[in-house]
Amino acid sequence: MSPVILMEQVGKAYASGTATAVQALNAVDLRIDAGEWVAITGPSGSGKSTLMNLIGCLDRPSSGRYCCEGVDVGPLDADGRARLRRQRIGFVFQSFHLLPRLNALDNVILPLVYAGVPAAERRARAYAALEQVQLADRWQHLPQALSGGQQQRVAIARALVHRPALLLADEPTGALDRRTGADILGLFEALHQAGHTLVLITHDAEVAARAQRVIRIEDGRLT
Amino acid sequence: MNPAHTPLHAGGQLHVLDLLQMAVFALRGNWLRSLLTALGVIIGIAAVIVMVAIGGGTRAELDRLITGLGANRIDIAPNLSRVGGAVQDLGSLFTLSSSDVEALREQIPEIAAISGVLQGRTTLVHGDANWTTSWYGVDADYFGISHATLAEGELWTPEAAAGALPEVVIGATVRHKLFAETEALGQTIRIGSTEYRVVGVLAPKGIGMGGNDLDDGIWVPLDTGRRRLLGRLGLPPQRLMNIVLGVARAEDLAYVEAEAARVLREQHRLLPGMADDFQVRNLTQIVSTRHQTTELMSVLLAVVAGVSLLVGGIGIMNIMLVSVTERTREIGLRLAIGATPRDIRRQFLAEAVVLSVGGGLLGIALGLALTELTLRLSELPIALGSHTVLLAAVVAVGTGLFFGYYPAHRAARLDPIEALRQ
Repeated sequence: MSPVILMEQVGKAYASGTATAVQALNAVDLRIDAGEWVAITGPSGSGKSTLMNLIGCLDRPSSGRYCCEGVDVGPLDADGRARLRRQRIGFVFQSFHLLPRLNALDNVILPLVYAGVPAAERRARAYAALEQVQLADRWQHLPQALSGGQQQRVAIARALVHRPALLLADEPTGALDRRTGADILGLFEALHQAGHTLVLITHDAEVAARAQRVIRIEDGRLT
Repeated sequence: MNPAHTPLHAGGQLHVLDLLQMAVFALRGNWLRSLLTALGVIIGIAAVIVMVAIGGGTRAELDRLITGLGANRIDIAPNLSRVGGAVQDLGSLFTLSSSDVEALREQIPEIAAISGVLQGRTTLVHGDANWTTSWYGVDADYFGISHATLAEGELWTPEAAAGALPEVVIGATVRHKLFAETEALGQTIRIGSTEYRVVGVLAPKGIGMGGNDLDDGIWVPLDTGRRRLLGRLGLPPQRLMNIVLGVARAEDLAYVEAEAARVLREQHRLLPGMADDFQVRNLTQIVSTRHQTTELMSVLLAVVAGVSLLVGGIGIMNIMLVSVTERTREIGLRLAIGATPRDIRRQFLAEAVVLSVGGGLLGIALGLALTELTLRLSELPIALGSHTVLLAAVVAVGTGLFFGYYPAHRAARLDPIEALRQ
């Protein structure tokens, strides 16, 4: 079986060929297998955001090869990468990114709408995803009526609802207080136990320590 | 592999209904802005509807008038010599005669049909019913020139015409007044002491240019009119009140008009410098001129409607561009969770189309209401076909697609990474 993530000598350069060219990533080799919980950590400007964008198929490498579950991302156009994302990747963001006019359930349903899941099936699956994050009783609430921790749980349910191969979280506790952050980390741990593959990007060494494996990045290179 | 990881609907697609629902939801969130944006299209479409309704109505009315008159028709009437509004010479009332008709027929081969006309008012009696109407003494050619057709029965025979027999063709109004729903053919109408046999009924023609009822009249052979109905008036023998003639080809009208004047001057022995004692009029031409004026008005109105739709469309484009900027983060999020750029483009296009179609529907409603109002408050003729409404709807969709494309394209081109960072 193909690993969830397989990077070989991946590099990413911005504005290449100009005076302001920046080599954000350099010769990265990375393999993450199904069921792993990996934290990627490093100081700001180290290239972790760039790496996350590549792993999440939001961007493509300027050199080297990246295969997500055996699919080479390099040749895919924007539509192709979007289709890959909606099948295999669930995003969790620092600032939750919930749509303010949709209630919790409708926010969770959103990825299923784009995936073309029949309407009858959507609600049941979104509700099940909310149950997974212990928020089923709040399904009617608008984001503004939920606490930060609850909003992040809705966002995690949204990332899980289409059963992705990889849950990709970018500083998921960054906007939360310590206790709520700990709750969220507990939830990640439970998801890991349940067999999900998790990649968590953080600059916080304490958070990274909770993961099964920690990958450090500095100046665009894994150390 | 853990079953929880099985990807679903690998080839799934955003459903059209979801697309529309999302578009309506997004527009409802800012409904006042949406309504104001659609206003341009509302006014544009309403203008198109009213314009087409009035233009079409006027055109249909003129077409009907031309048909009622008879196409390619020339009317000749006596030119009354007046001084200060008073008719000077009673003889000038009757300057035309049957020999004029013969001369015109012989000397101008372009004339396809010609008839002298005598007319007057009389009262008809049938049983208990009586009705006062106009009578016309005409030749058989008259009916072809004035585009009159028989709904029932037939024209009087040549023998009846030659013998001045009391046979009559009646208009639809007369038929209705005297006979209601009962059989009219073969029945008799009494005028004075003479019984006239009804041989035919004309098909209805409606209202004429002066608002007169074209179906209110009876038609008898010219000699019948002259001897039996006109007798007491003491008109000189062979005199006619009018002459009508039909020309086969429209392009000959002007030539025949001039020729007719020449022939009549000759017939009436008018010396150079003497005024015509007749007037030649081409009513078809007058109506045609009015036709052209209406066409021009339609074109101008169409331009106005087009400009207002253009302005409405630009309004939509403007607001959609603002919306794309405002919702950059949302677009980034949607892209991250699986919307393809194509989905995003379709979504914004759907919003523009829903705006313009919503505006279009409101515009159609407004246009129909204004049309109805015009119909009630004015004498303007109205003709509105369902194809006009359909056209308006298509134009509305087209406006949305055309002016929504660029903003939608901009939204689809956003880089999800940049958009999420906003």
